[in-house]
Amino acid sequence: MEMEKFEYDNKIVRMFFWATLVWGITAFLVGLTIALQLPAPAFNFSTSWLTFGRLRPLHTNAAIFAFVGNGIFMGYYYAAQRLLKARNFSDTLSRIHFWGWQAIIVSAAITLPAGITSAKEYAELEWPIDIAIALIWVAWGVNMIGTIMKRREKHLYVAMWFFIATFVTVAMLHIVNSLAVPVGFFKSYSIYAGVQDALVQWWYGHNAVAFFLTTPYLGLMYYYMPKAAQRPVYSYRLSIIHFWALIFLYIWAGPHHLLYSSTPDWAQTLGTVFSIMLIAPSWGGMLNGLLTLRGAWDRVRQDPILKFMVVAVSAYGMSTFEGPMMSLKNYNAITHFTDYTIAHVHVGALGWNGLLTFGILYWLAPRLWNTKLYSVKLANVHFWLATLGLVFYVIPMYWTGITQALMWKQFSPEGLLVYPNFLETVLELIPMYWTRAFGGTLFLTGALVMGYNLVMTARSGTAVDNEEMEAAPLKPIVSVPGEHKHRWLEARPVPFIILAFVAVAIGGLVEFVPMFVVKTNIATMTTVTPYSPLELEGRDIYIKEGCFNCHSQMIRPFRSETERYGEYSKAGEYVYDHPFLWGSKRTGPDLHREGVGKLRKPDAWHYNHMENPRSMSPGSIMPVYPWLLERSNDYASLPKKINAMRTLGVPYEPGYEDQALADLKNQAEGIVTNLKDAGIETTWDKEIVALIAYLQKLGTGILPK
Amino acid sequence: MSKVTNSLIDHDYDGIQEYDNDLPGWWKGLFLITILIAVVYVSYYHLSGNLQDVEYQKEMGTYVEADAGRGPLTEYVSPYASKGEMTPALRAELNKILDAPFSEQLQRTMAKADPEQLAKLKAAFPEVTGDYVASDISTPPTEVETKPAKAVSKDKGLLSDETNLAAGSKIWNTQCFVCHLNDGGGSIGPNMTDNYWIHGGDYASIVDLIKVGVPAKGMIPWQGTLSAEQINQVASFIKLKLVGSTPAVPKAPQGDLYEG
Repeated sequence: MEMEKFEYDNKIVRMFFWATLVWGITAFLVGLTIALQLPAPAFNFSTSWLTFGRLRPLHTNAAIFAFVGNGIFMGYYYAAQRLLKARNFSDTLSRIHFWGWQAIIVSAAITLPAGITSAKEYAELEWPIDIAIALIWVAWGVNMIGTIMKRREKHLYVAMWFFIATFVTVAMLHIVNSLAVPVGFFKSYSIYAGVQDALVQWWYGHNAVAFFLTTPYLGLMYYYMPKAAQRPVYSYRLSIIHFWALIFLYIWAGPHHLLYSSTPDWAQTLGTVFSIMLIAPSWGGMLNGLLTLRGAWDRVRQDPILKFMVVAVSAYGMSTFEGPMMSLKNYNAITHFTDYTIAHVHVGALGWNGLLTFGILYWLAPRLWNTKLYSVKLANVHFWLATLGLVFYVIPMYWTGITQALMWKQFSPEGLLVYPNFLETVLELIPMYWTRAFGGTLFLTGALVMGYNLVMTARSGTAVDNEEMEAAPLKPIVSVPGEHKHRWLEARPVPFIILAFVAVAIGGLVEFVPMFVVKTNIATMTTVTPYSPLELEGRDIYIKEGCFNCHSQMIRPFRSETERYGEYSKAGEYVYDHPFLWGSKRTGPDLHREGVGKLRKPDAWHYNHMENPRSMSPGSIMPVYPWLLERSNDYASLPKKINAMRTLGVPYEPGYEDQALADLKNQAEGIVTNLKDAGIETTWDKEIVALIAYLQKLGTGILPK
Repeated sequence: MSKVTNSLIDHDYDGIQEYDNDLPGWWKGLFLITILIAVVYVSYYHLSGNLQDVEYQKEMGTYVEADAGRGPLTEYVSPYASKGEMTPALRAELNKILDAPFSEQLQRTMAKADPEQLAKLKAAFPEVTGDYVASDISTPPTEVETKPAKAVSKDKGLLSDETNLAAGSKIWNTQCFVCHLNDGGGSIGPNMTDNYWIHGGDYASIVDLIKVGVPAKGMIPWQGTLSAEQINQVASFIKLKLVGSTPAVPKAPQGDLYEG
């Protein structure tokens, strides 16, 4: 048979290799910084761009899109060329993909600390960067599909199925969730509001976990684990079933992030039951990984690469069992809004993504530089640092999660909350926050040890940019009689891609269409009014400072919450909230009834509290915000904001944009007068005035007109 | 159920081979069980109607079966949305009313009824109508608890022993000082030392005010946070220790001088 000679592009793999290492260490470092900010607010350094509310999104974005993202592409560019027996479709596209992705990361690293954010978790980047992400993502997709088309291997291996599903689904999720009306280059409002925005966001957010942190990494597992173990994959049939079941079921599970919220019960139930049904498909991946090691367990004792992979796959198994448990209403009632969720995601992020990436980096380095790993001993040291780091991270966080939830819910025999002051439940957690930071330090140290080991490995060998290879050309695809149906599909990429898209599109459609079409899902409340111009501007400051990272605006229908915060939240209260700001974690108390009932505080309280939270709440761990007291806003973009909101359906009268500034000033002067009565001198144009107006508006939608 | 044959499939991808093993039996069983759980879960919550609003009403003790008059909330407006909070103490008061004889319950209903309803009730229960005295029982639930305090002499219940005053002092210095300062001189909240009062300076009025607060001006209603005993302690502390003392920076007097 005639053989064709061609070359694999190893240089692109090396580029992503270094990017993975550098961004990984960066993500861990930012993570450690915010871990220290919780027990010791001084680590916020009284600096706007270093406060927790701005650095936390930077940490999550760096971990997901910079560290894991580059890890995916590194692993993909090495594996896909070999699985398809073809060089990448276009070297130019590969380079555009690499540099484009790094440029996106850098722009995220600049804009997020600057407070430029859309407030949607893991999708915080503003619209120009969103467009860049879509373009670069498609560049990768075109490169992938082009390579598939010119492949020399008739059938697509299971790893390729997962890469295809990743590309198709993330494109869909990113585009639908990022739709927004811009007001200027750095600001936009989500086209969805309230409950609908929450549903779309968590459809995206949950599936960012599914299709960015899970499916591509399963693809990597299916290539690198049998390679490292030198054993066949346990079961081809299991691959087929768990692949299709996983991608079809995953997409439905988003609403499990919204249990006991104002989201309609039917949507919450879908989120729960599809999460439960996900256990087996998820474990299918874990089984195919672990059972592949049959006959190689003796080597797991000696080979640090296999150690990393075994712990990674085990962590995957644990977090995919824990996730469905947390999706049960009664369990979620305890874990939600607490550090329990933080522990859960870090089993996945540090354990599954982190350790699998480390294993792959150690496996690739000797092959990319034609040498041996510089030090197996240091790799073993790293393994123990990473594993212990993980343990010291997650156990304190499970502990704090359960502790705080029980404190929130505890009533005295007289029927009073035992810990009516939220702060008491926070102060109880401080020692655990230190322990968590210690775990993070171990994990970061391990990564630095790895960095040294990998650099020394690279220096000891020589890189080959283009690796020579030969293979027979692909013969025309014809059906083989008696062939398994799935074999037929594996040889035909176009039907495969279409089928994968159909599988991931169904869940979203079934959940969105009723939510957008059926009116009773969000009962109208005539008492709810749009934000006044000053409140709207205050809300934008709330978004800019990332307050939603620590404060929820969703009071669940529990006695323990209505006692603490007031009447539970209703869907109709959020109809003008573009974007929704429900939050997912209560490091501080819920703020949805901040402006009404027993939680309403004088304007001066808020003024002093923002200047230094400890003056009003001794012991508080909230950062200080002195700049809000000093910064003036000229409100030049106010008319544009009013117009954008009207476009989105908020009932501002036509022409109101011209009157808005006068109304804003009028309301602001009222707050200035209130502050003056308490001996505070300020002016109407200060940011703090707008923020106070917004906080005092919160929750007032239930009051009679 | 499932076979582990370990027979290789005749293909490889870059040297990776795959076994043709069947899916593990327990895995298939697990998948089936989770699907069954899904069916049961949906039925359990959605056929029974035991959804989150109902669950909340049951927790709060305000749930009434659909055919008994008031079904699961169809409109998202809580009956307590604008009437203050349903505290457990208030709940206990309501239970007392519910345990009351039928005639008393009926009279309370009459007190709240509009004229048309009232006419119907009077026609239906003439024997009770005779005893009906509107002014005596029209008290809304939120005030049931505070009513006895109003009825007694002005400074009755004032706690003057040192133990209670020390307890009151502790509450003052952990909660109240934020707005009124440790020495009571006032900052966000009014001066507590000058004996000028916006809402009345007698002991009962102070206790009441602490309980229900002045939410519009930022004074927190404390009755869900502090027990009745604690409120008495801190009110006594204000009256006996703060009033008349000399703070470092006194805020200007607000309200009227109390001469009781």
